[in-house]
Amino acid sequence: MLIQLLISGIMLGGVYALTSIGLSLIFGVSKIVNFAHGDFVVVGMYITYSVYQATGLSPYLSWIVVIPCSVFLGYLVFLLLKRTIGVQEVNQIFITLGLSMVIQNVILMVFKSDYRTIRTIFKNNIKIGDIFLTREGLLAFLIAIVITVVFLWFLNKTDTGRAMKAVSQDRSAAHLMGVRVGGIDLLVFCLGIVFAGIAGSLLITMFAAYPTSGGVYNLLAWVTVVMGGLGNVVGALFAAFLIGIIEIVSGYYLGADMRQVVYYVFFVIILILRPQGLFSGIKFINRKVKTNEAH
Amino acid sequence: MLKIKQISSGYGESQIIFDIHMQIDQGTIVSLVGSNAAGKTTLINTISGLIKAWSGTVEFLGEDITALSPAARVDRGLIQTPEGRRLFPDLTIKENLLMGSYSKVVRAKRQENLDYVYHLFPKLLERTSQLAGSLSGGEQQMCAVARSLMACPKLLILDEPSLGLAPILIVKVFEIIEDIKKKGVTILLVEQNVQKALCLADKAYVLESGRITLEGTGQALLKNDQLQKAYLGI
Amino acid sequence: MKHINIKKLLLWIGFFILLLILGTKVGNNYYLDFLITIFFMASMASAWNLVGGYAGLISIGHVAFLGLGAYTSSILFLKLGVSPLFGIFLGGGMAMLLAFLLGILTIRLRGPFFTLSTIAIAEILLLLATRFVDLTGGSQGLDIPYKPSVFNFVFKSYYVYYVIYLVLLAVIISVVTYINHSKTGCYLKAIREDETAASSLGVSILKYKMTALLISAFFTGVGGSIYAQYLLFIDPHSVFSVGFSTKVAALSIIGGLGTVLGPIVGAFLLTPIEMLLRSQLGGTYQGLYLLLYGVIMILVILIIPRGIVGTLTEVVKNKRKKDADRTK
Repeated sequence: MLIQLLISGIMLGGVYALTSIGLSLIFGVSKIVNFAHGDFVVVGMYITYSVYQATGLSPYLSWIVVIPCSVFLGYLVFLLLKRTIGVQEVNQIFITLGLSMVIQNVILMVFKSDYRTIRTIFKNNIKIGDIFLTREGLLAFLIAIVITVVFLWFLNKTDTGRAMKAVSQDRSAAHLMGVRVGGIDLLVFCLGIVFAGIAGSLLITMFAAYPTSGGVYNLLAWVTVVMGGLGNVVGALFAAFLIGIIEIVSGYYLGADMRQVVYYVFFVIILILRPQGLFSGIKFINRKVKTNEAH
Repeated sequence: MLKIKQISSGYGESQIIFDIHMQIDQGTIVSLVGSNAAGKTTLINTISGLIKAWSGTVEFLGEDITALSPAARVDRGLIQTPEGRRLFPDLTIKENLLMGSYSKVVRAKRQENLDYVYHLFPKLLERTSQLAGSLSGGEQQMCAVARSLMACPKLLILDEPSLGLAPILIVKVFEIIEDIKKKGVTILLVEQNVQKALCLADKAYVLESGRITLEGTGQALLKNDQLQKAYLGI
Repeated sequence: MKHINIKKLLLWIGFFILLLILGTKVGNNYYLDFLITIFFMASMASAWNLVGGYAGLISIGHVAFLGLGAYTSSILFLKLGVSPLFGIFLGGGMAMLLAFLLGILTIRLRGPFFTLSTIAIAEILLLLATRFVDLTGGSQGLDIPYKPSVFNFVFKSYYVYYVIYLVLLAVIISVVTYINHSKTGCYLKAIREDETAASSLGVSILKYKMTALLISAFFTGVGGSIYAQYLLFIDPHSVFSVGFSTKVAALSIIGGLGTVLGPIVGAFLLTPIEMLLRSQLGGTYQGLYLLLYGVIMILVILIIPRGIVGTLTEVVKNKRKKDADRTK
């Protein structure tokens, strides 16, 4: 049974990773505090739902709508936040909280407060030995992992990816390298929102969306980012798996309504005891190992 | 090559430099000396475009670049090696060097430039995959200079390249600067090490409280009474 | 606080008495409820402002204090028969205790992480209140029986509630005014302007922030208890939902952070709009007022980040300065 729970947890964590990598990227590179990230996930859920309702298009193909919408939304929101980058963190909190109110209530007015979900794609589950997996869950996990891996490749192997890392480490030095830092900020923000949107399109096949569900995903994404070490994309990935496992295991043993309590408590403890995150040690170990090699 | 006319600038509401005039000729080393907080870094950051000029113009290779972004200036070959090296600590040496040639103008020459800087600093080649944050001060300075050279500089601004280095390394740094000059790169050298900076310079400016108070050839300034008292302790 | 401005004080007392008398003239319970809600929102926004405005701690989980206050007095009354007359203060005390524990643990966290920790605490309490059905009635909530008496702190007349809320608001305004002029207030403002400079001057930042947090939590808890006594019903979502905190913060921000009058102006301007929209539109458009709050909040932050009162004060100051310069 425990193995079943662990695997379900990791499956769930894969999708959570996608929501938090966007947030981690935005916070890590541009230092923008985005308290509406969960609402962008929910926007992705509702777009996918509407497309499915209107045309019957599979949630996995609805990306052709979700991605341009997310880019456009990201661009608009970036215009609001542009002037606050690096100077007014508190205003970023207020603007994104205001934005969250706007998004949630627009959704409420358009879609009412009913729960919306798409649960008719696949009929049967997969069974491997004693372990059950839902097809939606497995597919979402695989897609999320592929996107994450491709993104990590992009971050490490392309000039633009390297520029993102450079901006996150030293903005003014990045200017001196000829990086259009404002352009990188915009790109990162839109990319983060696109990841959130895609995560939403995967989540709607598993969970119901309702107007205020953004609050849950927002806190979830932040929990993951803090656990993973701020701005540490790989850390966020591991943290997401951990959260997925915690959620499934505590949901099983303590009841569905307690699963969030467990990881919120875990989150507060981490904020207090290890604000640098759980997985920030990994980078440090790498650095040490490499130093030793060289000598 | 670089002409600065009546530049004033500062941070927020506090003005730091006042009506600066400066001219740098092709192929020369120009030194900018002055005490701490005289406004040297503010001046070169205004030249690099990190800070907006409040008034005045910056002309580079005959073009008015006052309104250009820092990145556009880099594209034109105006490169700064900032004070304190400012390497990207969590990127490897190689990644730092690649960042040096980020500008699209010089990307085609990337491999050629890599070979050149590895030839100039063989130590960097030994440690290409080491994180820059783990290097010693001297190694970091070499990496920072190498990173700037990756951008094919026409004018290289070096801000305090000898700061915090051991004496033997300081000698090395100044040798390298002369080497770079021989390659045809024009250099603006900002230094607190006044003696060394003036020896090397074809021309020098002294900046005090945000204003140019003295200018002349390096040799002439070395003999200047005022300057000797203030900076050389003679 | 050495020289109290007698004229100003008398003006305020006069205003208070005027409002008391005006209340008796409003015969209609609908309008009284309208005013009560405004007073309540103004009280909560003022209490929030102590933390969010003066101490620079952006707490979006302030409902934790509100809900804890409401549940404390209600549970004490329903299970142990403790009169809400005391329960209200015990509710405030419980909120203060929570604030103390929270403060010790999280007050050192940098900006957004303090905010996140407050949201997490509020969410945890919401889920716990739903879970522990025996004590809290779970998502069914708690009903306080309608048996009007002073001991039960339940009243037939809306006017009594009107007075209670007016007194609560007056007390909070007095406390905020006092703090604004006191040493604590000066230090808090100094910290807000420049934390590193203030700490190098030897100002014990944490002590002053903690003071603000405790006072704010107390009044929010008291407000929650009274709220429960007024509605005679509480459930986890009505007293622990983070959305309420965001709304309260929005009132404060729009009115002017770190000013005595800001949150009150915010509440008196926006709460009537909210109530009108809610009663007129209802149904599908029940979210319209929150959408409006969000839009106004974003616009205020972008255009007049000091809020209505802060900006007006600045304009008046500048004008006076100009006039003074001219007379020279």
